[in-house]
Amino acid sequence: MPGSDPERRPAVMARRAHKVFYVLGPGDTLRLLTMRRPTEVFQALSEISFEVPQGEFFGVLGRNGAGKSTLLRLLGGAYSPTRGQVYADGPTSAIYELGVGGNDRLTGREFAIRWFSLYGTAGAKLEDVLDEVVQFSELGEYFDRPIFTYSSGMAGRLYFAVATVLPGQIYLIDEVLAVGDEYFQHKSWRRMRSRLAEGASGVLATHDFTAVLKLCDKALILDGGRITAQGAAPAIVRRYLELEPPTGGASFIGLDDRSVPFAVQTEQDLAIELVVESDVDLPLLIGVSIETFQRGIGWEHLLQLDPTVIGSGKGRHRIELLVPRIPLNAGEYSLNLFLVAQPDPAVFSYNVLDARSWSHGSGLTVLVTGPERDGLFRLPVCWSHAEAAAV
Amino acid sequence: MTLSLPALHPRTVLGFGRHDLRLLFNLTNMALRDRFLGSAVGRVWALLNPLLLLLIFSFVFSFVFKSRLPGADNSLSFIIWLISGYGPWLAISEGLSTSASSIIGNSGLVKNLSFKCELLPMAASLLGLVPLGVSFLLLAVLLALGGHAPTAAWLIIPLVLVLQFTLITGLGLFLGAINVFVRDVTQILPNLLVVLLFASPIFYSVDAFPEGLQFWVQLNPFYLVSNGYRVPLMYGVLPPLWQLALLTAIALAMQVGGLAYFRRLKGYFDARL
Repeated sequence: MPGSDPERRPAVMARRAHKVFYVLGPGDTLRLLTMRRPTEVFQALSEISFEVPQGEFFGVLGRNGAGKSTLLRLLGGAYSPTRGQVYADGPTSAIYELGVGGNDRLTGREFAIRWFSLYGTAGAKLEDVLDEVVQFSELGEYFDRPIFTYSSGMAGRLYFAVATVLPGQIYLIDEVLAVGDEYFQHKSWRRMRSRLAEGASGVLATHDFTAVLKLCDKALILDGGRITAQGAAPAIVRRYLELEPPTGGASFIGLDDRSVPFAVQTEQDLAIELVVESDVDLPLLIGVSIETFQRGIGWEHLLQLDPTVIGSGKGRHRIELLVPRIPLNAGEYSLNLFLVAQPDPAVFSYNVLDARSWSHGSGLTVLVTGPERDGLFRLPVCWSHAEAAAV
Repeated sequence: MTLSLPALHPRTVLGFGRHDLRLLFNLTNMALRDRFLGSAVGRVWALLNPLLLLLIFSFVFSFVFKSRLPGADNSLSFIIWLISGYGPWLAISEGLSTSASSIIGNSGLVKNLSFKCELLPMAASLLGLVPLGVSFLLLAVLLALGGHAPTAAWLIIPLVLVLQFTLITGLGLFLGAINVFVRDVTQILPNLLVVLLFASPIFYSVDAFPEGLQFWVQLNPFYLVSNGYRVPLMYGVLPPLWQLALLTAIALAMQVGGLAYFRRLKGYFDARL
């Protein structure tokens, strides 16, 4: 991965951090003003420890009220931890709340100038930075009109453009990647991907798991201010989604060693031997998909086979899966196998009896070797040529 | 043997570094813009408002009430006397009102930007420089008209200015912090300031008080400030040194106390903002 050198300091780190808020009841004000501590506290975060290596994004998943925004502000320095330590290796570009420090009567340009006067321009010339903001937000002449004349989408575009225009080192993002219409969202994602490619690090707090998959290498789940799980992003997302575990009744045998990938040369046959042991007296179907994970884009289904009947009845079945002349170019791909049963042939619904897939935390890997080529597939084209009759 | 450099500590004064000074400047600009952002006349109102107040009070006290300085029959010298006391009061009033609401008015910044939010009331109190500047300009014109030449005593005026703003900043820190929890402060403050204005010898001389009370009245720091400007400008001599010493003591106590109080309370702001 570009920029993630393990010997360098982490970009962001929390070590046993706690955050406590004081809850002020009606009687507490006088206590407070006479310098006594309020009694009631709210433990917003407890025992938060994690590290974000340089050049990586880290996802923080959680429901509303779990403490994601508090954690982000803790990392960005807006709050101080009541216990423990929090560390960011450099200035953070914090996008918690769009439009901070704004005032409706300011023009877009005045807002941007005010923002940069508070946050700094990291050495760049103010004029150049403002030009980039206008260009990215596509506000045109509205840039010099007061913000109260903008639509909410335009205001969102202005704030997002201003917050992300400087190539920051560390981004702390709180749910704001969904600003604007589809076109602008696409632009925003492109911008975040290019920042990522430039080696940016960051923390993304969200309940949108697809965002975490698209951008993050690792993630954690926050629940009631505590970390309940931490690890590789796909596994965490699966856990967050509480995807149903397989029901059992039949299972793949011998596919548990996932450290050895299936190796195949490009355009050669891929043959995989499967052993299935079944305890149910039903037709067994297997679904297959090959996916690739591209940073900044997400999981892409490349090849998929809908569940197909491969056997029936109790006992042990030997199955060979053959992909003749696999068209994939060199690279590492994820292979997902689903063993399903269709209880009612008339109804198009499946029970997953067993699975080896990323969404169950047990994905298999296919390693395709061969010459480096652009694209994921070789297009299997046949040419033919006939003489055209002279006119 | 190698020499090792001592650890570099960033230079701080009262807990503020150089970066904070630049931020203070930016926040003051922001406060100034925000104060007059909605008005049609814009920033001109910042100058026009104090000017109108000074003129109307001069008119009412001088021509309607026919107040005169004891021993003089001259309305011009009374007006100079009035403005040199009332001008600083406008600065105090403006500074205190804006700093009281500075935290809750900028709650977005306090909650999201990582900075020393003590700077907000401090920047707000500096807004008082605007009406003060207007009154100085007016005074300059009137003094020239009255034929008063600058004297050496005028050199004390910058010191009084610094002391005045130290005082306002300190008080502003107290008010700004308390107002987060007791929002009535911004409601009560305008009335309180009016009461203080008329209770202090600003429109009238100290002699108007009975003998026994006169000493206690002179302990009023707002009186000390206006006297600090008034005496050099009117009479060309320094104000009594004990008054300057007392003002210095009160201003420093307010500044240090205000900072300490604010910093103790700011950890709890997030419970109310």
